[in-house]
Amino acid sequence: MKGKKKFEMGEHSFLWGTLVVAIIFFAAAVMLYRAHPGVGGDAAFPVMAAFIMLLGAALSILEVRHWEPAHPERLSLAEKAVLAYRMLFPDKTLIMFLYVLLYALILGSLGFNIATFLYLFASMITLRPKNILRSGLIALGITAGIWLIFGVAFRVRLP
Amino acid sequence: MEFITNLGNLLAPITQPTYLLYTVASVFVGVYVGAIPGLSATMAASLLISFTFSWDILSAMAVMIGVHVGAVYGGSRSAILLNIPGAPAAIATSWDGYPLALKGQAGRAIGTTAVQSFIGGILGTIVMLVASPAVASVALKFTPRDYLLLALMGLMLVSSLGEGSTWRAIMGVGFGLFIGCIGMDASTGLQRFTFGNTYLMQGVSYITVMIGLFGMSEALMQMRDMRTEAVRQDVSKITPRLSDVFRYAPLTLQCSALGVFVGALPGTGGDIAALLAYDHAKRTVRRPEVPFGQGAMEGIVAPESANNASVPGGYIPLLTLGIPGDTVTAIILGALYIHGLHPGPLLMTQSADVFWFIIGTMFIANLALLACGLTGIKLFAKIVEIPKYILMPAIIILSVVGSYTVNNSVTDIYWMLGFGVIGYFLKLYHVPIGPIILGTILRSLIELNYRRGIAIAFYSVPDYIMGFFTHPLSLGLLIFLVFMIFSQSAVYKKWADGRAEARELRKRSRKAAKSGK
Repeated sequence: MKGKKKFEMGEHSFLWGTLVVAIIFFAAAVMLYRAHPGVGGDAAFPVMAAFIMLLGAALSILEVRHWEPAHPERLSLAEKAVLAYRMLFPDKTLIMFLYVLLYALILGSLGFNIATFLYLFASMITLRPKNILRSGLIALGITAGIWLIFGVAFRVRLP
Repeated sequence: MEFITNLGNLLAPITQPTYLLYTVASVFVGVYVGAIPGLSATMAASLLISFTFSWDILSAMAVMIGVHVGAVYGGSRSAILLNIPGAPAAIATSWDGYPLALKGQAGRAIGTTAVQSFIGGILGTIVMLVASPAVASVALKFTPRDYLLLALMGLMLVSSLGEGSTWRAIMGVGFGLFIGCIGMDASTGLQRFTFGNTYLMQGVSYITVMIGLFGMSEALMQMRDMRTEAVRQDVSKITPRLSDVFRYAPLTLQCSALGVFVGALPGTGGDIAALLAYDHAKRTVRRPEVPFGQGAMEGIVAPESANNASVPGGYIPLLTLGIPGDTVTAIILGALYIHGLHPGPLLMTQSADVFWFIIGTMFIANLALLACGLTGIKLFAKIVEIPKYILMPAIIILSVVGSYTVNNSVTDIYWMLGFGVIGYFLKLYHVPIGPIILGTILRSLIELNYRRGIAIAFYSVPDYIMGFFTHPLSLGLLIFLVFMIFSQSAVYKKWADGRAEARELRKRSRKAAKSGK
């Protein structure tokens, strides 16, 4: 006999989250439709698109109603949150997410070349702390390479 | 006499060394332009239009066609190696190409794409040579209703992309369709879901969504486990065996035919052709060596032959009717006007030299593609062997540059990063990301043609629906669409599997009977 399917940690909450997003999208589309009615109007298609998403999200939740929980034993909310965090951001993943966010923030003020070099250098020494000088040189090389190919050879505007 | 003159023009790209050199060099450049995320055939063609302004028309055409052919193929390289399709036409290639690279077979995958792109391109050019007027006249018969049905056929791919859960795939496609609606409406100027924000008015480019969901999210996923070593690439077998080419020949032929026809439809291009071809392969190839999505060669053969066949397909309405098939041919239309030509039904008689030269260049460009496409594979395949701590941050930077170049807007970078993070969570929780891209790409084709169609029917829903049954072409497409939907149902699958099993049993019993003798 086939075993029951099992949730990933946080998967059930994620599916409910998508349903909430789908409901918000659908409500927004219906509001737009009420302001601009008509089968061939601006809002007809967004209503259809949001309905498809809503239907998919609702049926995705129905589909998993018999799945086994990720952890059979009863856990407190705090314990569940810790387990979900470990599943979502193992190792240095959260730091890398933060680097990406910081990169996006400093890109406008520091300019592409400096921000890119800093991001690459920081990422490389975080992911592999050995050989800091080597990482610096590689980061410099990649930044220069991108600038040469995009900025100089193809005259593409860089951020 | 006229025949000899036309033949001379057709062969000019070979007989005149300057044109030959321009074509081959531009194909080479095109391959590498297409391979770098952020550089595209459209961008290269628009740069070339100013660059070749003072050149003679034939040289300008040789360069522009060469770059176009090369770049459409080149997009597959980054799709296979980095999971970032260099062009929208290479999205479907990444679904099986990247898994092949993860198995150490990037060289084999790139070699196959080069050969299949060459075959698709040549077959497309043959159709362009012998049947331009016929294909153009059929393409012109397509009404908005038919375009809608065609786009819905593309959307049917969603069921085969939803590995595991079809409902999650449907949710994804709805999400993609909705995302495509954000921004100022192209026909009425109404702002949809922009909250009055000027940055949201230009909408979300599907290229940005594609780079975020494919490249960025994959880099984030790979960073979850830095202990796994990069896969060593086997680059000993790059050029596919002739027997393999023959084995896939029926699929290549079918997908090339599909590609050239979809390319000839104004408003559609290599991306739609490749998606439809991938779907066709998934439906028709019953027992691939490896399942689709896990490195099936058929999953590369189909989109690559179709997207390169769509290139000459796009030139058919351009040259015969003066209607561009996609964005690159729209730029080429501009180039023809700049040089004082008027593409359309009279081009074949008034400027026959240009017409035949373009066809000749298309042949040479595809031949050059085979040679250029097989260069640098060993070097490119090594990209996948770069240690993760260097490669993953570099992919994120390439994704940033690639998304910025779409509109030269920092907002696109934020969108891309946002979709990268969304893609990360979706992948973790087994929500397929392919349908989201599918929805975002097909949204404009579906919405535009739905609204056009219903406007033609004077906003009467019954009249609009009746149109699907009274117009022969629409009815044919509708029947095909219904069959596609039916073929995905559990009832049909059970019946088809039962038939296949019975066939297998008959074969075995026949063999057993023979050996008994």
